[in-house]
Amino acid sequence: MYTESWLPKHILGRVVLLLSLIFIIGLMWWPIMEMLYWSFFDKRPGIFEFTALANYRKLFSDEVFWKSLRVTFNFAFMVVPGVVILGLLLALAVNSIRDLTVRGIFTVSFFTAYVVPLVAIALVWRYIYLPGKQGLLNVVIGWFDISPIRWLTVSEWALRSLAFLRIWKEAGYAMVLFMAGLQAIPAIYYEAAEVDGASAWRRFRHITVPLLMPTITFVVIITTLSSFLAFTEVYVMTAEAGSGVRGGPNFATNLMAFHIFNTAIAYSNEGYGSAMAAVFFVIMVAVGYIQYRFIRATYEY
Amino acid sequence: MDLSTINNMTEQEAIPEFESANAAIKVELQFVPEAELQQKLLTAKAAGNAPDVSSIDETFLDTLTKQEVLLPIPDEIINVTEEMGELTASLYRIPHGSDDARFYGLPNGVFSSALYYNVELLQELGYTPEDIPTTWADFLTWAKEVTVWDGDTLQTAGMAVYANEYSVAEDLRIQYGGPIAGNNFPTKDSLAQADDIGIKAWQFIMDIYNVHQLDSIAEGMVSRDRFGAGGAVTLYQWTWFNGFMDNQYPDIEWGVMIPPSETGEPVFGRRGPDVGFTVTSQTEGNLDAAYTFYRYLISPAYLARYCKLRGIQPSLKSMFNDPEFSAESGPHWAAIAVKNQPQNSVDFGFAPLELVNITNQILPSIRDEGEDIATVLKRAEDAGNEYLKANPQWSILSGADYEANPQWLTAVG
Repeated sequence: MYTESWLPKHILGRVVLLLSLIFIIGLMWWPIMEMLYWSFFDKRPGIFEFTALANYRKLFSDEVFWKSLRVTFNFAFMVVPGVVILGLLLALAVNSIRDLTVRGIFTVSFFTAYVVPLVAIALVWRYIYLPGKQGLLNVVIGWFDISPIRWLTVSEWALRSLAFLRIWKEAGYAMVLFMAGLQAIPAIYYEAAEVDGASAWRRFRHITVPLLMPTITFVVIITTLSSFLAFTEVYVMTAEAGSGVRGGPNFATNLMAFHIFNTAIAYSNEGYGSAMAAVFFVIMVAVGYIQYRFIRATYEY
Repeated sequence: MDLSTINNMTEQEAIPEFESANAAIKVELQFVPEAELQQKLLTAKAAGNAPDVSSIDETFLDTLTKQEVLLPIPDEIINVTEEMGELTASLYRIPHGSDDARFYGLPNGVFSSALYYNVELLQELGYTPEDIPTTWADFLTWAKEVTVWDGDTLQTAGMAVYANEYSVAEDLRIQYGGPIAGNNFPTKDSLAQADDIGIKAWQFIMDIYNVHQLDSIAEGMVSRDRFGAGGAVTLYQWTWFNGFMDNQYPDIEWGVMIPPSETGEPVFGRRGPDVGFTVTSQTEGNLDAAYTFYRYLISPAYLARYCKLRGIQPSLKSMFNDPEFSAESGPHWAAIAVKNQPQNSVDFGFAPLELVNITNQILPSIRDEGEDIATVLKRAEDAGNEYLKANPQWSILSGADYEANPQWLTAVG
């Protein structure tokens, strides 16, 4: 039975919409506008001067900014395929388990890494990645006669080590999304293909992948964005033992989100940090849009 | 660094002592991680609820003063020139050259790096602390003798230095170049890294690993941890390690000596300031109490305990001749007292975090990435100079400053 509320329905709808609008404008668009506004100023402690495009001009010759941007893209290029492939493989494997209890145990096991706070995981992995024979990972590779690796202190390995941690953490979330996608594919397609003699690979290639494309698109976009915004692992894991400098060695792990934080907060240069954030914001929106258009255009069913 | 011993001492000894002498004042203590402190203070100031007294790092002084978080210290609270000397009075009166210049923060004292030794390991090897050579040439030979490798595993380091290389480099610059040319800052707005003495200093550090093999890069074990675990005969380390040793490794018998130098004589290297307490109150009614507490925190009663734990030589002139902080104060302190004297070491003042982080890129590039020393130093020097040109610093005590004030390099300085 429907009971008329004290507020007429058409007004209630508008109130709810208005509240949402206030929330979006106040907490999302206003800070973005503020960031854009500050990017035209020299805003440091005791200084607030309009400098027009000076911060943006400075960005073009700022080697650390460009290196951080390259590092961020390299990080995303490692993390996104890693999360998609591992997440999909895990989903296929777990989804093939018929016993629902066992399937549940595996699902929870893989998903747990995603729900544990990254700062806690990063602390643990910092010890796993310790150099020499102090680190668990070096002990393990030592069983295969591989010499210890300085996972976090040489640029050859540092970014890969951070990327591996993120893949490990996010694959469980991707797995859950892929499992939902897999379970939404009607079994009749597979049965028909099987009757036609299609191999397992052909069924995967021509049924699973195309019908899973909306989920893959979603996973690619959210993983790209989360990679672009990665901060915690840099902050927790890369502090140089002597100086405490993070993002090294030689800016090899200086991801953009951390670089912006360092500039705007640690160094209190909010104007320049805002210009960095503005440029990075545009890049993120552009990458997200291109991904969405490209993947959708490639597989439209 | 290990601040827990200082926090415990402040909470359990100092504050009860202060409150019993000032019955009308009640002190509430709040601990904030150093990495978050500046931002917390800025936020608290904006919210109108800044604490009455704060302990800050010297690198925050410029920003917090400009943001008016710090309150000026009235002359009646402390006569800085009289109580702390001319050098301190000159450095901390800001903005420099301005009629409005005031003191906003003062150093608790100065500290520097020194050579720690493990008494028990020395005894096992048949040495006494007095046997440790005081010139680098002799020391390196001796340290190599006491270093023990088991294949590619370092069992006992002759001199543990991993993660403390900057302190060696800074000391070596002064030793090679003298107190003026060895200063990292020829002037307040210029940085020197890639000169001959800089390259020589970093080559010396890499030789410790690659030629003399006194410590291990591959193992990447932080030198203070190695020393604390009894795996190093000596350790090159800033003297805040004193409190750390007492707290973390109470079972190890240790001492500290002046680090080796080219000749075994002064100048031994660098020392640096440790700031310090500041008044940050925004409550008019609390101001008198805040300044009363601040005065207590820069009094001999508090500093005597603080400095012992922190490994710093107190800044108050009245404490210069305190037997506890003298050259006769025993194996845990005598070297600190001697090295921190103005004629034995050079104070560069302090630099902002941005500049510190520019020079802190040197070590990973040279040690971990194996880049060419001269190239790395030039890169850091260029970046540092670019920063300094755009951000002139008052807080640096440059070679030019010492040339203009030679008394700062003397015992009376």
